[in-house]
Amino acid sequence: MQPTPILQRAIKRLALTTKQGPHNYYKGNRTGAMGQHTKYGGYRIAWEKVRTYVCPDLTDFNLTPFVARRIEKRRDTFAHTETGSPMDGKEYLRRWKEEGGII
Amino acid sequence: MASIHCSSASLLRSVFTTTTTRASVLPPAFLVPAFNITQTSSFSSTTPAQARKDGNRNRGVSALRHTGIGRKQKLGVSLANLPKPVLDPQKRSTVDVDEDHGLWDFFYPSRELFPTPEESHAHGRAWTVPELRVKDWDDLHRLWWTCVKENNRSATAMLARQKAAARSGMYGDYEANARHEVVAETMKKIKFVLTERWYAWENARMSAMEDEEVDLYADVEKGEEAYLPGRAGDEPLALGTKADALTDSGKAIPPPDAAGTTREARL
Repeated sequence: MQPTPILQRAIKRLALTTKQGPHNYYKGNRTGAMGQHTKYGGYRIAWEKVRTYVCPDLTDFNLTPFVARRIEKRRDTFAHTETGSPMDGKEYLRRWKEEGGII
Repeated sequence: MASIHCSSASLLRSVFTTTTTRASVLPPAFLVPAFNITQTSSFSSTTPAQARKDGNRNRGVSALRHTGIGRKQKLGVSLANLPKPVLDPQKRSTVDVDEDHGLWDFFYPSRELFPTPEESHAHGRAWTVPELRVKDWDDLHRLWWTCVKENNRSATAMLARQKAAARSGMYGDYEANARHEVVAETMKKIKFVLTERWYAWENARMSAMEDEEVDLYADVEKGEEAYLPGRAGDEPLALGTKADALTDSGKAIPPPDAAGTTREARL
């Protein structure tokens, strides 16, 4: 069955679903596999694949997600660089050389 | 004329007289439903089976029909041994809690279940990109995790508030959401700065490929210098470090006779 032409045009703007893709289209949910299926239908979790998020040591770290409102917002200017952007490569190199060129 | 003077009594007299005479035999037709006449003999000639005797001790026990428990049933708890709730808060036993437990990170420093709307509202603005540009990787990393912990606290408080308020609802969600939005903005700015930093590094790498003073292939672990100042004016050198080029400069440009031999060999 084909959708009506108008619907086809609208569908192009939506995400591809498994009903539209090829027969082996795997959409997934953007998380990798955490193990393997066994031949008996079970699932063996591979612990080296399971995500572990390590929080850094936060002792004596005084910053908070908030900044006091009385501190004024300032603006950076990059007019002195060649491209005038904060991502200027030559300015990066110049400063790297200025600081000794240490990797 | 007797027919003219007829009344309902005169008309029904015959009926009443007949009913009184036949009362012992059969009630009048309109009173039949009042007499519960049941059929005493069954249509089936076989004798009815006994009630199900399958040894099920729960047979006939129903919560819907309020039958109560069966005679053979035994409960694990007797009414006499039921524990009684301690109504006085002073007499309740206290739970030993580790003061430094990591799960305390899910609560605000006051350790209240959830903050008041005023406490939620008492926050500053989000970090801006220029403020974060001067921070190093470690600071940004730790600030990110501070934001994550703040989000955890706010989500815990949100759940606790919903649980405490139940259906009646409770003030505080608006302030908590506004606070969360500020944290989310800070996290967004951290990502922005890191992305910008990566592109700056990539652009620097691209321009270093054209820069004579930078050796992108220097092995720093072997003591080679990546930054070779003062090499910009030199003529372009072949592969190798500056030291190699200075010691055996003969290798850089082959001698004319060697070039001639190669040409002969090719011919």
